[in-house]
Amino acid sequence: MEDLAMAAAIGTLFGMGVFQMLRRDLVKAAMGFALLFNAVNLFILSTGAYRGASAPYTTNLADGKATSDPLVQALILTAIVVSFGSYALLLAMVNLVSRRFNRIDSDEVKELIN
Amino acid sequence: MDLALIQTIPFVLAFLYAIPPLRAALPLPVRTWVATAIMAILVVALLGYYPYIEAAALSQGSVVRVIEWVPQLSLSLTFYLDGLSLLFGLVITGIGAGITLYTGYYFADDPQEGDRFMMWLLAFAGAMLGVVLAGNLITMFILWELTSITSFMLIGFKGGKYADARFGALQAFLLTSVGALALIVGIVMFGSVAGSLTNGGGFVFELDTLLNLDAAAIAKHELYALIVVLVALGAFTKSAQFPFHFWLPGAMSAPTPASAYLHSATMVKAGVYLLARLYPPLHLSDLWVSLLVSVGVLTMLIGAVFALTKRDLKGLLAYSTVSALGSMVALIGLPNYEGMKAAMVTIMAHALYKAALFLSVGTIEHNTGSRNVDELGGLRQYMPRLTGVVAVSVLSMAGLFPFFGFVAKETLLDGFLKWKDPNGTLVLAVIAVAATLTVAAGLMVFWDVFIKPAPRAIHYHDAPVWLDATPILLAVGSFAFSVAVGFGVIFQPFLQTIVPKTFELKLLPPDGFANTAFQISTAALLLGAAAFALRHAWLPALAQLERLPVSGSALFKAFVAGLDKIGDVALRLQSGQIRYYLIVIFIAASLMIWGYGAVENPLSFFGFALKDPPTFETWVRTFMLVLACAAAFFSIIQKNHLFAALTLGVTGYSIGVIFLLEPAPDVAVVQFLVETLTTILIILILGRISQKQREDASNRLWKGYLQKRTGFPIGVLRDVAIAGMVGTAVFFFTLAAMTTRTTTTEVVDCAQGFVPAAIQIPIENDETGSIVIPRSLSIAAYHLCNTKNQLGVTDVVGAIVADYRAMDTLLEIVVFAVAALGVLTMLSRGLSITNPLAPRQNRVAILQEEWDKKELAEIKDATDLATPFTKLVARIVLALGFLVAASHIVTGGDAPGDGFTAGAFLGLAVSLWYVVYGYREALNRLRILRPYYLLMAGLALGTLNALLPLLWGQNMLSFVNYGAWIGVDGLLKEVGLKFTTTLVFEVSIFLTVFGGFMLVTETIAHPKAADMEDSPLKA
Repeated sequence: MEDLAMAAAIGTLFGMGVFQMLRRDLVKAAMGFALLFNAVNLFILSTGAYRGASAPYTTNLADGKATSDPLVQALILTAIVVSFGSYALLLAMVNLVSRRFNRIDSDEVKELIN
Repeated sequence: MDLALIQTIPFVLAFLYAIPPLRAALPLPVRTWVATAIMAILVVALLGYYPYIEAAALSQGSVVRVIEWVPQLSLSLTFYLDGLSLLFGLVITGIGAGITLYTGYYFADDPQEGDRFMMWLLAFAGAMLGVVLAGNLITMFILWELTSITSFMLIGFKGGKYADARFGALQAFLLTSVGALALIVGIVMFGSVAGSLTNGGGFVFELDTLLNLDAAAIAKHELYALIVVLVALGAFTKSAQFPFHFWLPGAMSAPTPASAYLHSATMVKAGVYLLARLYPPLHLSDLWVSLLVSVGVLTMLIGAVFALTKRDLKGLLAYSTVSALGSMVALIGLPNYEGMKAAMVTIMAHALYKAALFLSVGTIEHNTGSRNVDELGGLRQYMPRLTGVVAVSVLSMAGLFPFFGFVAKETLLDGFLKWKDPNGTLVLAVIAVAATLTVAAGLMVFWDVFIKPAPRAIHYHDAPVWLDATPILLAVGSFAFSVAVGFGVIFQPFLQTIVPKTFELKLLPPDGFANTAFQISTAALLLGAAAFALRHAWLPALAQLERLPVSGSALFKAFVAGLDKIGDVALRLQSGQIRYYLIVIFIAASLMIWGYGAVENPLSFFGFALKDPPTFETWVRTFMLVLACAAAFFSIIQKNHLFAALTLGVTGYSIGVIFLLEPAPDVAVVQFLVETLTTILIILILGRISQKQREDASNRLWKGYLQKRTGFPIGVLRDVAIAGMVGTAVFFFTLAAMTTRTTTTEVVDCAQGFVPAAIQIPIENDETGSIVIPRSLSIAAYHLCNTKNQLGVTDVVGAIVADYRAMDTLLEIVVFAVAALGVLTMLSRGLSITNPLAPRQNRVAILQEEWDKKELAEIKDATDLATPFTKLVARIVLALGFLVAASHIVTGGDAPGDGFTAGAFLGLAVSLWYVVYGYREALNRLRILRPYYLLMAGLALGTLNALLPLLWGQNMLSFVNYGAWIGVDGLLKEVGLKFTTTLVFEVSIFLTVFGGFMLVTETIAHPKAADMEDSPLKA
């Protein structure tokens, strides 16, 4: 049941991210990437092999408690920060386009270039 | 000198010439002489091998130098030196030294161009040396291609100014590349045939094995004919054989030193080298003989004929080079051993006289500004030294006694005379005609340019004296070599290099005029002289050949144009709009998943997915997921960007709660912090984009791209369909990922003993025959069980980030730092209208003006929210931030939080300052905290920390307890600290992440970054 809800949410977020990425409004398109990042992070989380109820500390393990999967968490941890970097880069690009073309509509910018 | 060292030196020289401060270390004449001297040292070094090769020549002795790389895969760098490679090596380094000297003075007027030219020339010398020294066919091929690339750069050296230089370079490059494609296929086939003959399988590319193969067995192999044709194609294109010969005259747009070196003395002989090199294993068939002799002789004739049609001296010499190359190829094709001997002598003689002639033409052009026979004349009064050089070289080319060319021509005729073949007489006749024409062409170069009075006044200016040094040396060589032969020096190892047979080399035929070869060559000389004397009668008629309706170059042009046409069709699919690329990628990717689903029946996953009954936590989690999706949905339909950004933030926080429920405290903290920063970031960016632009974009949000035509938002519907398709695919993909593994809620049993799971995974077949991989053996269990005893910390996530997967983390912080610098670059420099990537300069410049006038006025500093209260908060938060960061790093090993959270927290605190104080004041007040320094310190510390374990004899990124090494481990333990690689790495992560966040906020917070004169971003 939980898996199903998780998968549905990941699919929905991913699909919405894709929809946003295809917008002609570049700010919205950039937001689409943010949605994708979140969906992917959730996906990584969902592939964890351990579903314990306590945080992954060796002390918890020593107490005989089942822990959550530390590996996927480590992967997500770095991914979040790098996503921020890429998102900032994207937004800077949007800003650049806005300055240079006085527009943030990709179709209009395209017409200006051609 | 070690062969590997000899091979490396030209490349090192080229590298030194490539770097301005390095080459500027020596003044121009000095660095020319130093480079010349080094090349000369290489000649001496190679000559050092001569006695050994000579002593071992009869047993086909060779020097093999192996530098092992991956011995398990029998991958190694091998050098192979025998008589053949030694001969070529000496030509390459010897002529190379001369050309280096010549180049230095040739470009004396334009040292910058000269240095650039020298760099490519020396790089070529290294590549060419590599071709002949390589002990492995694959290595040889790589360097073979490198000679093509350097040749391309040299032919197109003046491509910035002249279109024909670009065309000539491209033509030469494409033709030789096509040949090289054939060659590599041939090499691989040959390697596999050799493998089957020696090892019973696999590939053999090592020369010392290949050369000792049984030629008869190879000739019987079914792939033999194909191999010979493919290898010959490679050699023919490289050595400008008919019908690929036309690239060589086209390559004459190269500066003359390159023409002399590459397109006469060395590179074009690479094909000849290849054929001679593979002669022992491949020569035993009629195919070899007929292919090489027919193509070679035909090339010889065509080259000799077309040389006479050229009025451009370089073109003339180029065609005569084509002719000479044809003779070498034909000689290697001969089934008697005299052919090989003659080929070697021809190579030596040709390198000497042709390089001298090319360099003389270079000097003529340098001094008079012309190289057209019709414009020149009477140069002997201006350049007495060169007159001698050209006289000697032309006579050597014509084959007159006592020059070395004479010896070459005698051995050549001798080789063909000894060839007992029904077509032998015809071939001999063609060769005689070619020789006659060559004599006439040679005389034309000498007489019409130096002796005959000039048709009109020549603007002559003198060149540096040293420009004559190399041609004179080469001309002396043309004479000295035959003197040496006269005294009985016969260059034994060169002659019998490929075939184990002792040869004789005589200056004059012992039987004098009774010798048929001598008769033919004398007849050719006399006829050639006569033809030259009567040239005005027949030359104009011959010149008509120039206007042939079909020429190789024209065919090539048509072919390339045809390729372009095909390219145009492909280009039409490339709309240039990222949206369509994305659509294709998304549809293709989801179709792949759908395809998999069709095989695997996606519905079966539901059974697994539903097997857990919902608990309270499930409902909370589901609620957060629904909230995340709903917020995302609102951010999509929301027209106002600001609200959309805020609702997007809700999605991020909801996901943070999911992380918290996992439980994944570290991740949750970072998610909350970064989400906050992201929201601030987008608000700041929105502040930099004018209201009007945003409104315009929002108003068109639901107007589809095709609406203009159809009046219907078809684009939106299409995107909904694509998003739905991708979303469902991802849904099933996730379900499959989650349910095809055994997820456990059990406590990890550390007693099992964990080896990295990836290695241990057993693969079993279940009853249905499909493969089952039990995934419960996740490496996470290994991490959980070993973190404490290996690293002494309790936070497993932190341990993975900072130690087990430290390489990943190191790379990720580098990526993050680069992204932050990218933001800075784009927003400071990228805005500049001088950016070369800016499309349609004029149009954009107008837009820029428009912007400067109207839009800039509208933008307000969105970040100025200063009130006493907010200032107080900002100060407290920053102070608190440092405390939190410090505690996160120090206690990160045992509690939630680590370098990432510390960096993100401080980044957040700093961004608050920018919001509260406004850009300028925040910058002033935080002057000590410069993001560049933070980034640099973080990356340097991370790299250093990664390398330090090497001191302890461990691998990079291994765990080291610095505290124990200094001897303060016990002391630190008292206060609950551990000074280890993990801790240092956390600090470096913190510094980089903090610096990156700060750089991004600082750049973006700047409202008019590019417009402020004193902007630090302009620095």
